[in-house]
Amino acid sequence: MSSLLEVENLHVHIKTQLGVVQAVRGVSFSLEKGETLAIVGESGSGKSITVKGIMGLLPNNGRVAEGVVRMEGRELTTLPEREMQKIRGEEISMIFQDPMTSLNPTMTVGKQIMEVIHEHHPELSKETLKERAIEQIRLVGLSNPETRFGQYPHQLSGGMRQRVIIAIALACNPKILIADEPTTALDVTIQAQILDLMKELQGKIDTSIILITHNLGVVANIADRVAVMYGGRLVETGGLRDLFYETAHPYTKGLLASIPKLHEHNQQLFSILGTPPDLMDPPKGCPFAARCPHTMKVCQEYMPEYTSLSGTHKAACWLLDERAKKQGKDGADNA
Amino acid sequence: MPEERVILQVKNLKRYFNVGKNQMLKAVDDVSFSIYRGETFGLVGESGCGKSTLGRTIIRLYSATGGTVLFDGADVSGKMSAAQSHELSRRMQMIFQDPYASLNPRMKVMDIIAEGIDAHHLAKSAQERAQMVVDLLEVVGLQEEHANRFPHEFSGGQRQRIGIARALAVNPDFIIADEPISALDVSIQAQVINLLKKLQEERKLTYLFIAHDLSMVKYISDRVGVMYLGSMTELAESKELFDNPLHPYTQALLSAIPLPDPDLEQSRKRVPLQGNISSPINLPECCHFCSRCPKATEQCRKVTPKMAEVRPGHFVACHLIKPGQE
Repeated sequence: MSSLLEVENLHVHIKTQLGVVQAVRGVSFSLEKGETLAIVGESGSGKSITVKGIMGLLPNNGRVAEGVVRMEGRELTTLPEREMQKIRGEEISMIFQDPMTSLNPTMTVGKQIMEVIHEHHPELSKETLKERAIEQIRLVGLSNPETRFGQYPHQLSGGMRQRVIIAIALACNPKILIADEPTTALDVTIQAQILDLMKELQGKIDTSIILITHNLGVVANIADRVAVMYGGRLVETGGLRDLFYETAHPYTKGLLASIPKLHEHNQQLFSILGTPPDLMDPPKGCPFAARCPHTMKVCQEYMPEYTSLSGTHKAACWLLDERAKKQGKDGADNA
Repeated sequence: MPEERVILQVKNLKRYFNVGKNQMLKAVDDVSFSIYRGETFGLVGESGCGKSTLGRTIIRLYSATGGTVLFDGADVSGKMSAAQSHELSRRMQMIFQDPYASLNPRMKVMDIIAEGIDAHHLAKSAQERAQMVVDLLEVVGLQEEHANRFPHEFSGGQRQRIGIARALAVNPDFIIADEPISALDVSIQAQVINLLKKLQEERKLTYLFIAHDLSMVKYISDRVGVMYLGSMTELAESKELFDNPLHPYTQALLSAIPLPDPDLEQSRKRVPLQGNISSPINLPECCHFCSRCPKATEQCRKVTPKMAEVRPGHFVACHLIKPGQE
């Protein structure tokens, strides 16, 4: 029970004109101090909504229908908005995908950083605030911090803006940094710079990171543990090596096989047929059953339980169930 | 390579944009290359390097500022008669990046796909037109009943298939695919790429495949060109380019791609690249990569390097690499 953050059986519902979308359907995971957890999944798999549920930043039509989010023993989902406001920024902060739209275009970079620090430390004088803002700009590796302080977002490139956003997110030394696709909008050479920066800063200020991404290369670069989401459920979680080398769930396998490898030649590109399930009317069985090459009758009828494979590595798939193996239906090659 | 194998030859193509008083943005500056019949030519580079502008200039969505484009030996870059450009639009087609923006939301799929068929009078009767659309839908993996739906009823991957069917409707020889998969999810990307490969085999298509996802480009392309700030910096066969990149920019670009394999990813050496792409407006005479290049010399800051063939089929524009030496 010493985890920094614990999420238990989280359900998030989003009301739309056409009905209720069950975007997150019973997600549980924990985050330890100083580690990087990557949440991987396709668009619509519920990964962004999961962290928005944790942060209390769901859209007006969304609500946490069930489940517990505990940070250092403190329950977050029932906290009043004013308390939550204090936790955001100071304890947990978030970086969004698009560096072009998450900064205020009419405020200088320095002022935007000062604003966050002021919000959480109203006692600080203006001079101290400025000093800390400049310190923060230096921390994220921007040249000429004093000049950058007075510049507007449009004067900076995409990579530089993402650095400013990281500076803002880390301004109050949060314990958890949630990064929602932080490098998706950036070019690969800039992406490499930002990933290096995140790793370096994590070492310096000992923050835990939850990284949301669909890029498995980014995951391999930075993550300690990985959680794979599909159709609003966690289908597999485990250490980085477990996920890549001891892959258990057919969806994770398919995902890994559908990216061409740079260092290999002439391999056939695998593609997962079909499309993800409609979460307005989610399947009662395994969410991946309709696209799975090993699908069985039981997959369509019953939601698979998690099978523990080793220490932290577990996957929800009927093929891993003991009974499946007994009947000789061992289609899952555990290699 | 024999001349008749070349389907498209681009010679010193330039496309400049006037972006204000005395400000010239050279989006494509003096680019030359050839594409052979039946191959896939991949074009990669970071955002703003001019790869999309190059594709759009070839297909005449932009007029060329200078240089020529020869398609099957005929110049298609300057003024053309209505009949000529009509014929070109049948033989050269384009697939766009954003499947949400490139289909008219007020038209049914049937009419979207048949637009080219109508323009070129390829169908003799309404019945034949409908049959052609149904056949095309089948080719790209959609069903007959999809013809009477509107674009908003489809997912991103399905829409991209509609875009592909539209491009195929006029039986083109050459298709420019401008980032056809970057708006799609990983598992859907593989579906679309496999479809493009299958169609290429069946219909003997030639592709110009523009993308920034290098691993996908490597997978689908026979030859690859790398662009940086409006110029081609390196061009080689796909395997050769990825195994043996010579230009410092290509080396940095390849080393920056995160590999989906933890052991490889965390053990390999990066070629670190400092700074950002410089502004493409009013570029001085120099190697455009010199401000970020770890090996830049005095010569690089003064003279723009020219493309040179350092090995058979492997072209590099860099002062530091001379033919026969590595």
